[in-house]
Amino acid sequence: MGILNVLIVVCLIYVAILFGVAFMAERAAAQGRGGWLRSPFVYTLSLSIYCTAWTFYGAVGYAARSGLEYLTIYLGPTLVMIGWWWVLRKLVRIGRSQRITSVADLVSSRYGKSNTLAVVATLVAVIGTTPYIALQLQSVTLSFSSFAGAEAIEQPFGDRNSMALWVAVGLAFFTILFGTRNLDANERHHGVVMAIALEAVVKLVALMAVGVFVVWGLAGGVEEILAKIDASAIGSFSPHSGRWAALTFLSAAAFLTLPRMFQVMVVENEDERHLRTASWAFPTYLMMMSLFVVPIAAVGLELMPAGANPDLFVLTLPLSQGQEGLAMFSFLGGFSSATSMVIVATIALSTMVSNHVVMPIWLWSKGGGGAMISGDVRGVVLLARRISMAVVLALGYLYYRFSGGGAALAVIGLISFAGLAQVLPAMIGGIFWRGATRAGALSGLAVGFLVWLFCLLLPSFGDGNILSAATFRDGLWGIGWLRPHALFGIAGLDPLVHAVMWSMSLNTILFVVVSLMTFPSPLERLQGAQFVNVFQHSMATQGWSGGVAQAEDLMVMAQRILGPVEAQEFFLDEVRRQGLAGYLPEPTSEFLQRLERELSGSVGSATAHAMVAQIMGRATVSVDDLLKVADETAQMMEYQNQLEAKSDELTRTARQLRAVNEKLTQLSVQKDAFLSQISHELRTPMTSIRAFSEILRDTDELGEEALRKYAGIIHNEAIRLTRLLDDLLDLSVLENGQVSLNLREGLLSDVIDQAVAATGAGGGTLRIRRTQSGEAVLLNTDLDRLAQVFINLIANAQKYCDAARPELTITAKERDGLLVVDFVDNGTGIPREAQSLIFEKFARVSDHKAGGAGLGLAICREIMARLGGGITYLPGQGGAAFRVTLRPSLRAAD
Amino acid sequence: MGKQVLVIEDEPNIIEAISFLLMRDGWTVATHSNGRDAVDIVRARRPDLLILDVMLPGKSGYEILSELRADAALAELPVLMLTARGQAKDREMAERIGASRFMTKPFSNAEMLDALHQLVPGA
Amino acid sequence: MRDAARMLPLLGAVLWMLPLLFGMDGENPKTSEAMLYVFGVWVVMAIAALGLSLRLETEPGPGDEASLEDEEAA
Repeated sequence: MGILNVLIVVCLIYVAILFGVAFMAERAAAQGRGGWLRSPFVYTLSLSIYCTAWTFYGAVGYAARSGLEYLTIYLGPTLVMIGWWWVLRKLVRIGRSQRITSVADLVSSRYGKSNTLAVVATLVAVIGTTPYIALQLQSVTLSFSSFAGAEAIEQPFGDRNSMALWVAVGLAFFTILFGTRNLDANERHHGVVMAIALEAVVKLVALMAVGVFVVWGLAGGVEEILAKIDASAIGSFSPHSGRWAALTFLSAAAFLTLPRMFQVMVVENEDERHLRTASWAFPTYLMMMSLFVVPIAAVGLELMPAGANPDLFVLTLPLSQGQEGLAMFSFLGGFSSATSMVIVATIALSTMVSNHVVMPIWLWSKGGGGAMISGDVRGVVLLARRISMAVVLALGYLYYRFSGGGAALAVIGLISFAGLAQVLPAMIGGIFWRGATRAGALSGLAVGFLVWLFCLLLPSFGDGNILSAATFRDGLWGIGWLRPHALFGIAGLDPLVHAVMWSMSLNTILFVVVSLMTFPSPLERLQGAQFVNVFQHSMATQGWSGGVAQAEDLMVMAQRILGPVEAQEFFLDEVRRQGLAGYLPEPTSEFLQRLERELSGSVGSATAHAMVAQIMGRATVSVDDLLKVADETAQMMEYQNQLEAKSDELTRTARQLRAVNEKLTQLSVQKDAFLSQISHELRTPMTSIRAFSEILRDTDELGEEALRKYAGIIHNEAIRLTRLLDDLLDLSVLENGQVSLNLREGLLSDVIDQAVAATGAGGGTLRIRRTQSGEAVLLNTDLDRLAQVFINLIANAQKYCDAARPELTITAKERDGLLVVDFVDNGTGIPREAQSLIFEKFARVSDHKAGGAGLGLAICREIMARLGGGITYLPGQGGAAFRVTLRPSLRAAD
Repeated sequence: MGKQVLVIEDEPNIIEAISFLLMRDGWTVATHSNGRDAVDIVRARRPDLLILDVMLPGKSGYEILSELRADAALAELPVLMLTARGQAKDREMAERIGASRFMTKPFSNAEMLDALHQLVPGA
Repeated sequence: MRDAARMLPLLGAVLWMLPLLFGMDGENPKTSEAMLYVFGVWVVMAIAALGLSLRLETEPGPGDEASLEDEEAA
């Protein structure tokens, strides 16, 4: 009993340390001092999630049953790793340049951003990984119970099943906490990666400690252990040659296609150069993990009682020798292996499920309008990921419950591998062969998956459970050549070799044949060329043909997916690249492509493509684009690129000239209208004054009340005239730069308070929402002038916001050393054609008289220019939105 | 019962001043303050005289006048146009469309009454 | 040097498939011998990969191409 409590405490402390490490790594990365997080050795260690509890416990069990065959599971990945120049280098490059989020996303993106393919690949991944997650849960519970005896475990947990449930819940908590901090898959999960790197060290050291204890502590040295091995039940080397080759191939394939491996190898990759280090460091890690497996197995077989489960020798061997400390350490090693695998696999699967299944359904349910959706999509995506994570873990737990937790660890792992490897032909074909088509990939994948299901997964539940005994004997529907272990009448093969051979060869044959028979769509060709020739032209263009009008719509959409700050930065960056002013860049095809990739980092390539297409219309893949990727000489391509760039530039210049010209014409019309406007604004109050003063003069028998009323009108109109003249003078003084500023120090929040009070907005129909936190900034400027600007903006919202329940949100924040204050209301905003004019004199958007003379914003603009800041209209915020920028005083307020 | 006059103008103070003047002069005064449905109001009320401002919300005085002149039943209706823009081209515009009389704001009360009497003799 | 990097995994695959032929004369070899052989090849492979990764560092590799691309993007 005592030992169990100690074990639980140790476990909890270990988990707390993991949380701490993950948390610190996140913090360090967020503060930009995470240089050590980007070490190639952290990358290499993170790859070690290949070694799960299956390795930690199962490898010894495997060795005890079949000798050296377990080594094939590590030889395959070693070959892939030392051959990084062939495949991994290309995969990582493609993953980074196309912002690929998962295996399913890779396949979907390559074959014309097909969501069908993504869904199928996701399905394969989920079904293939579920048993694997179950296996980890099983290993944790098994190790727990072997530690303290099966009875003792019922004390704290009720029974084994509820213990597995607790482990699953704990893992879900950790994964959701650290796996869904960032939405963009290309922003790495530093915390998770750091935690699994730590776990990688723990499991390696733990396994080696047990190995050292066995070799030097129990056997007495290297010579002795070798003799013991040869004397044991696994002493003679008689490999099953089919299995040896098939398993090496299978593990190599799985290393590339396992969702969790793709996640750490490609998605979390910081730098392509890390592959160099991993190319020798990871084989070394695998070698050290495998080194002591046979010695432990041999000594275990000798010392442990005949019925003991060899899967648990790593734990039970030290325990039987009274080495409880070592056993505890070994337990932690196994615990590390299991938890790190589950965490990363869950992250990888949830990305696939949410990007390829949940998001498309959600977008579709919103009326198919990817761009027209309201609200912040990020919340939805994050929620989808979190729910997917919980569902994936729940599936793993359910599989554990219903499979009874009985099968040997190695068997479950291999079934998983074979299922996931079905993606391999589509993946490898996709990055090396341009002729591969979507139809080919889809049919190969589907058939391979079905064969695997029928020959390997379903039979694994046992005779008569899902497949009846009759099916095993006589074949499906009594057809003799459809027997799960003897397809097409070829009997006598090992079931695993049989299933791998048939599923992979049918998969590959169909993939190739269907690809040859079908014709790729233009988008597939383009993507195919970008994938296959990723080292030649990483920047191939794709034919979005953009109009001006959509830039604002794109902004609206991007804000919802990337978040307002990130989207605005992204657009501003593009504006700077294009050398423009304002907030909206020209939607050039390069920009659209960049935007699409940026989005696909968050929601996957198929969804991102669909959303951009919603706004821009169908992507047109032009003949030029196709020519560019066709096999012609480099000079031709270069020439064509230059021509295209020139013509693009000409079009852009022409468009800018047209815009300038339009503005000039409008300004001249305005200038003409200016006099006429002044005349109108002055004459209107004058009319009332003259008419009433004549009435007062000429009418004798006016009553007391009428007299007072008419005099009052004259008075009010005179004031209105004065105010108009004041505004005009103010503007003229500001424009001529003769104004003297009254610089004082004060808090931004006080200035806003003053403005709100002056407009009486606090108690009126307009609701004002403010973020107090950003407003505690000390300013050194002309506070009265600044308040005048704020009053104008608030008064405008009062007058023009046409929402049923008008609301004005004032947010202040610091960005790039500037103080930014945004005023955003919830009305219909200002129409695009008027946006460039509102800061001009007498420019009123609507013709209904709301009392102003149309000078307010012109004055605001002049004031802000004098104060060394600016005021701009912020498009795409829903309602009317104005942004005031200021230089803050040097020291912040306390 | 005096003749009926309809005033279409959007500045409340000016409406008040004109109404006061005309009522004392013996007119029956109706007022309306936006351009959108002004033509319908004229059709419904059938005034003897229309005073029409140029700058109106919804529809300008020029547009309203064009529509009235296009309607045979209203082609002869006397219309006095008021504008706060005193430029020559405004006057030309008004005359081309068919305003019976054109006055610039601010106007003298006496002048306005004179003009009305000329437009509707016997009022 | 790149060709060497390409050939290494093929060499490894061949060497690791050789144990299948050990038992051809009807006499199964001892596990310890096979084990020493497999791990021996493993050590050689890791050292060869280390050597190659150091040698490839000086040639224009993916890292350099990536930095070019970054410049284009900036």
